Amino acid sequence: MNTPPRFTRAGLLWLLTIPAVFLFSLYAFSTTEFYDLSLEDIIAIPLNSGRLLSEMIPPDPTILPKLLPAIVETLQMSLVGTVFGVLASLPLGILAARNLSPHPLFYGAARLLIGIARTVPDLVWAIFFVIIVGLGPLAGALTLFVDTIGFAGRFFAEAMEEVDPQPGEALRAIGMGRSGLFFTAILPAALPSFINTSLYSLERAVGSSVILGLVGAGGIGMMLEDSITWLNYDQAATMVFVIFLMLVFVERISSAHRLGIIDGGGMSTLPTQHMPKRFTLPSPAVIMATLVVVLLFLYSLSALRLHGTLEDILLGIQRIFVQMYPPGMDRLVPVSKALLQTFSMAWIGNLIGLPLSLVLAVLAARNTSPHPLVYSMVRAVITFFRTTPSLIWAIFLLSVVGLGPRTGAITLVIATIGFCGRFFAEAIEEVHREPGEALLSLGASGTGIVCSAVLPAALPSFINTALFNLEHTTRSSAVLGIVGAGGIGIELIVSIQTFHYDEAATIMGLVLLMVLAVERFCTLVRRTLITT
Amino acid sequence: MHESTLTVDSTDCALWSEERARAADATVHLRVDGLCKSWDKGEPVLDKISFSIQKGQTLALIGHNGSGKSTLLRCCLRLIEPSSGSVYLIDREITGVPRRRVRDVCARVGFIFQRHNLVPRLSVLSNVLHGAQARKQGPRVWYQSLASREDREQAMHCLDRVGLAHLAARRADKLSGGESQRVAVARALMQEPQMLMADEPVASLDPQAGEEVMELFLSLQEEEGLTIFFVSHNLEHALRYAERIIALRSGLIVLDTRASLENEAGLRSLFL
Repeated sequence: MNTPPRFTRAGLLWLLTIPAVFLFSLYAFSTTEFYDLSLEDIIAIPLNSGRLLSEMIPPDPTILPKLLPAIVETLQMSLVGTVFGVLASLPLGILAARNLSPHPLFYGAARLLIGIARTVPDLVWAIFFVIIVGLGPLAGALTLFVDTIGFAGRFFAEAMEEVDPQPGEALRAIGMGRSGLFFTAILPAALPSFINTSLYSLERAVGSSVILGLVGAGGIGMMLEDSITWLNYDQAATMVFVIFLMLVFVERISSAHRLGIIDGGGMSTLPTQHMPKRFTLPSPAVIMATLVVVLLFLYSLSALRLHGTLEDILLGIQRIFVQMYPPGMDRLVPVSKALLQTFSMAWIGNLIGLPLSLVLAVLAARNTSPHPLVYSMVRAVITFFRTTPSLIWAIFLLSVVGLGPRTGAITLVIATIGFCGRFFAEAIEEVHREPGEALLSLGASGTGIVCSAVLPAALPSFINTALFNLEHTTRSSAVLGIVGAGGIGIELIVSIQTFHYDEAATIMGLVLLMVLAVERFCTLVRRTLITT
Repeated sequence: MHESTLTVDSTDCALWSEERARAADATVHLRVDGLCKSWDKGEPVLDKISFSIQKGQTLALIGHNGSGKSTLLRCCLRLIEPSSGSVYLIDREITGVPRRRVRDVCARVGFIFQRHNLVPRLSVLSNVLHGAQARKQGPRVWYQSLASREDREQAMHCLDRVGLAHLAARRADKLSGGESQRVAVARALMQEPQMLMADEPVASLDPQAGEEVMELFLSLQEEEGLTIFFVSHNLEHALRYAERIIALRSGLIVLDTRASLENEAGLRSLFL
């Protein structure tokens, strides 16, 4: 009778990884200036928070009438950007799906295009588009178009790659062609995932559109920045609250829509005894919602106007790209340091944020929460953290923690809790209840059940979410510098705004490399840890 | 049909009460008194159920789908809260007190589910080790890699009892149905139980694996003197492996008899 070893080989790999991670974390804490925190700084944090809150409360409602047009503009930008982005993502996604791409060359090109769209931060796209098409919502819509391609293109391709190949094989065996295969085997199977991704793209776009105003690309962000610059915190508080409501509203609409389309209506099973109808009508609610979206989209299109001629735009594009080449190498060393600081911010954000998310998720999951009141309160906190965009958090934290990468890192802790808190909680809720019931029957404690039955079962989802969050926060960390929260963002913005496009090209190239390296690392970890 | 059932029932109850009188000093491991359960104030699923099981006895509970068997079994451990009535388990009444106060009694009862209910991504050894949560708390009984040497050895011993020591390092979701169910039995043994309850333990197994699991129960009863209370759809199993059979219909006990007095045809008539 051989007792198995305590640790498997994968476990040993872990043991070797932990010291490396530990050492890098120590470095990250130092580069994000956490060690420089003096006692006075720490004491100042609650004092500053109190002062800020006292200036924000009560919020100033007189600004509300002025906010309405800005909100409408924000939603218009998001809708137009998302709809066109999703439409463009479909063909791109097909080219970028390994099982559908007609040629490795197309595959590589589509992946690269999607990769660039995704890795260059939205705020940087916005700056370019503002330079090309001028200030206003059109620049915002174009930014969200590119941003949606980066997000939806990737997930469309992945959804099509993950479709079970067997039905397709059966159809190929009876001689079906490539397009037939796509429409009969792949599209129907990937459709629910497409719908999910598209709706989530819209939520994301509304979230990003709020901050695009910071660089003049339209929407409510411009007003928010004004009020914070002029220290009108009571007005800023009103705006943050309105933004929060708007984002929650969009999230609710999208999740209602998701349920309506995916679970009900059009895709229900058909009666088997009678000849099925050619078409089954979706529920009236789904039809209405779709109509409303289409009408809103058409209305939004009319609001976006192009200033200047097409020739000016082409000239603008040409000017930027010509000046980008060759990339400037003069400031490679300081820029690389700033890049490392940027990643350190993301790393600290995850290092502190992930354990906190896990604890909050256990409290915010219906099946593990100790009390309904705790459940609702923690859910509300997580929603608030998630829906308020990182840059807005950064702006507020600046006046509490001060300028520098520390603020960036804390901002990303909040972003991590907002994102992982939600998806960890969902993963916990999806765990089968039977193993927990078995442990309950033998008298295990609540903690015992959560730790030995629920968490191990949810582990693959946790790892996926955490890795996705690491990718996501790495991207976000690159723009936090724009408001002074540390990292490479400030270098990038300054180089673009002072027309040093060659330097901007270097920085963007490095950011691209960093994000791609992190994504590659995450893919590797995912493959090593999640064995089926 | 009903008539014949009732005849068997009444004759048998007489015999049973004689025997009960003789064994008056034997310890009762489970006593259920006037147990009722209804969902959302609807029709009762269980209606004033009363019976008891002596220490070391093997009892089979049979009945239609939806007759309340699984609910009754779960109420006996308060995995489902009874609407009224009392349950006396091993040495204490477990109804009417906060659930956490009865954890240590439940800990002495192993429960085998229809589907093994193992934690899928953990190793077989970790799953067996979970049985020790009946007696201990903390991370050392959550994962085999953190467990004490004694606990690891005991878990291996339990696995050996069910003939699966060679699979200790395998992940629980890589086992066959029969193997999983035997691991679930090993987990129950790790509790050092005085009683085993099983809810259709062989329902999702092929006949061969089902026989093996039932044989395992029989050997545990013989060697360790465990009290065994199992729900089964398989009348042949009920007759062969149980000393006593209780049948439920629409939430009522319609038969309580010694297995040796019954035959399959007689029992089958209950299902018509």
